[in-house]
Amino acid sequence: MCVSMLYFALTVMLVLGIFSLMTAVALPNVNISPVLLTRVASIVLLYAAALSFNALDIQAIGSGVGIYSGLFQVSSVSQSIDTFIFLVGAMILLPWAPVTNSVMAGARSVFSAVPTIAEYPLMILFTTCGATFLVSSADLVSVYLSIELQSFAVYILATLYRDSESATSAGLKYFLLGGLSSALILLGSVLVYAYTGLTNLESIFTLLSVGGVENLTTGLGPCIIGLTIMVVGFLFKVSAAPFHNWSPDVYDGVPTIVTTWLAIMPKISIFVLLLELQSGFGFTGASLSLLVDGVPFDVWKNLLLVSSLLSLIIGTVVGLAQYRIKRLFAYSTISHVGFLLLALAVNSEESIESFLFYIVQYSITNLNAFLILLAFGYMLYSTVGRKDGYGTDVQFISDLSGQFRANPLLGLALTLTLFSMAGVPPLVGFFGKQMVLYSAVHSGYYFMSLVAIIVSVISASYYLKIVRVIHFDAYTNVQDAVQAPKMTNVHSFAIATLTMAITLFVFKPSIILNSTSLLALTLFHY
Amino acid sequence: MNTFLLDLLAFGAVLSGVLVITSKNPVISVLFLISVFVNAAGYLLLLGVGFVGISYLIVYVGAIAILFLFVVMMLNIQLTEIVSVGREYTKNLPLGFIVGSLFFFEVLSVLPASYSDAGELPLGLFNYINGLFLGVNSSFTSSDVHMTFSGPGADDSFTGFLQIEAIGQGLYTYGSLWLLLGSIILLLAMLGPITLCMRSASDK
Repeated sequence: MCVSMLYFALTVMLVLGIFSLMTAVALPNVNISPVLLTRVASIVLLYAAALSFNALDIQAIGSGVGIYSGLFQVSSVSQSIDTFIFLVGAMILLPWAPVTNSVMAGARSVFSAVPTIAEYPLMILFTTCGATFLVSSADLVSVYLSIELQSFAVYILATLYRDSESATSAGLKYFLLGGLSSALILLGSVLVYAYTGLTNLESIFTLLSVGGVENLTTGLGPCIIGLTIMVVGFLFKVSAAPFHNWSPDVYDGVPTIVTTWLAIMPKISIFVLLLELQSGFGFTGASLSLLVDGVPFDVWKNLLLVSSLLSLIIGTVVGLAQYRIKRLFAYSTISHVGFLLLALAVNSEESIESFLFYIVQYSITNLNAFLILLAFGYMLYSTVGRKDGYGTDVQFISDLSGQFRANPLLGLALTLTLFSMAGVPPLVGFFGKQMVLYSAVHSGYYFMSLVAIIVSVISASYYLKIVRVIHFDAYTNVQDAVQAPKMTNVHSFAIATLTMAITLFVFKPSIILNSTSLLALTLFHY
Repeated sequence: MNTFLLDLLAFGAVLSGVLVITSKNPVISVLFLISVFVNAAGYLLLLGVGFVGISYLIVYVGAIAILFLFVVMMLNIQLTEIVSVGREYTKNLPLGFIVGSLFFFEVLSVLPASYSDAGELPLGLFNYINGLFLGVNSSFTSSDVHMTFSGPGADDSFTGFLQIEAIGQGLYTYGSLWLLLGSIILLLAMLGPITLCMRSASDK
């Protein structure tokens, strides 16, 4: 009861945030600057994080509490991931150029290359609302509705810069392919419903756990095919390998400030949903097996493993050929998705722990990389602007050449972040990969572990390529000598904090590690 | 008789669907779209799913298709462009045929096969063809549509609900949060076009 009330407070917080921002944007004669609105949205998200952290009482929640007549379910995992989503979302809202800074008031016209849009935080609140519903949904219809709310807002976000041709085309592509994956999810749900008459996930798990593989094959085969189609839709949305084609184009086309959101947030919630499905199937003895020629074949696990293998290989090998930095990050994301899917497929206690830890460390590292990229963009182009009409975004790896000499701290921070992504030992990324590989080897997935190790060595080469360009390439001075703050204090503070967190994790690992292992324990032992 | 009508309506819907994408004039194409919806609505009504059928007529025919019609008429598209585009995509017909037949095979082999008693060749033509493809004697019945699942509560057991009442009862008591979520999505759907299309005074 108490949990349900707290959860309701969370929803109300977000919806009230949406309403107040909507009114503020629409007011005709009040000149509230867009940057101020993003700050307000950021604070709304911080409050929501506090509320959802407040509702996290492991004793009271236990193995999960069904709320709203069982359509949604609050568990320890959903609450903590909610908190994490809000915190990361609040940080993504920070990096805007200092258009309102009083120092810059005279120079406002030169900042026209930095478009700030008042509707941006509004869409952010909508998609966060969808994400928090998605994390805790326990019914096929709830899953579909919340996934639509989440992705619909993200489509609008991608097209928000309507004057930019590349953003519009990327947004259209994202919309069409996202629509296709939603259709797949719907088709899967319909097949499940047509065969079982159930939409509640818990009931579907229970039904699937009855009877052996033979019964599943003869009686519920189409239901399993439906679930498979659904999962293909989800993999589409997280851009796992055979379904990854849209992501480099979309990430590259939209402005970096939107890419930051696209690359990080929708993935977290969908992965947590996959985790919930996995833990549901994992405890039904038969899992999702079909008899193929008399041999049981675990459809779910093999789907995840194949997708993981392809993601690892494609994300790494194709990434080697990229010279546009955001495409490179997109392929790096795909290879990280491979690691996440591997941890998910293994499904032992330590692999789920490593899965949660990987989500946390990967989101933080990726967020830091994009914040630094934005900062570089403001440093380089905020006063002169790009010649090719891309606003202030860093587009090519070569744009960063020799930047270590101009902005040593930013260059150092980006280097550390990239080392963390590559998995260099004292940084947080190493521990993520190490935990995934350890759990995979421990459960006997030797081939997959070998592939993962090899591709992570190969991928180190493209991260090192960026590091080389920043540190050792010739430095060409494109910036003029305007002595004004080009990025806000809070932006640089965020970069500093995240870089510290990535670097110094090794000294105090217990905060994140204990929480993730506690969550994995609640999944397996409650 | 019922199954014959069903087959006729299904055939009409599929035929008009094909005509929607093959007809050269966009206005004619939208008119065929309306015919698809009318056929589908009739099909649903005959099946006994009255509410969904009627809402098809009201929502799709009454609102969306007419809106399409107006928009298409206002756009004044040059016919020659469309014809040239149409020539290009006939090249993809074999691919479309392969993908389409694969999809049909999948769906037909996957969907519940409890098609027990229905008519023979002239009445259940599609079922007969399905049977030929799948090697099973499949045919289906259209008699029982379960309108609502009544819970054990006392208020449900006094009266039998009409379809709309059943939907309302389920939606407003059991699934009220879906209604909330749907309303947030609709709010977003309203805000989205405004955000993407409205120019503020400073932009001009």
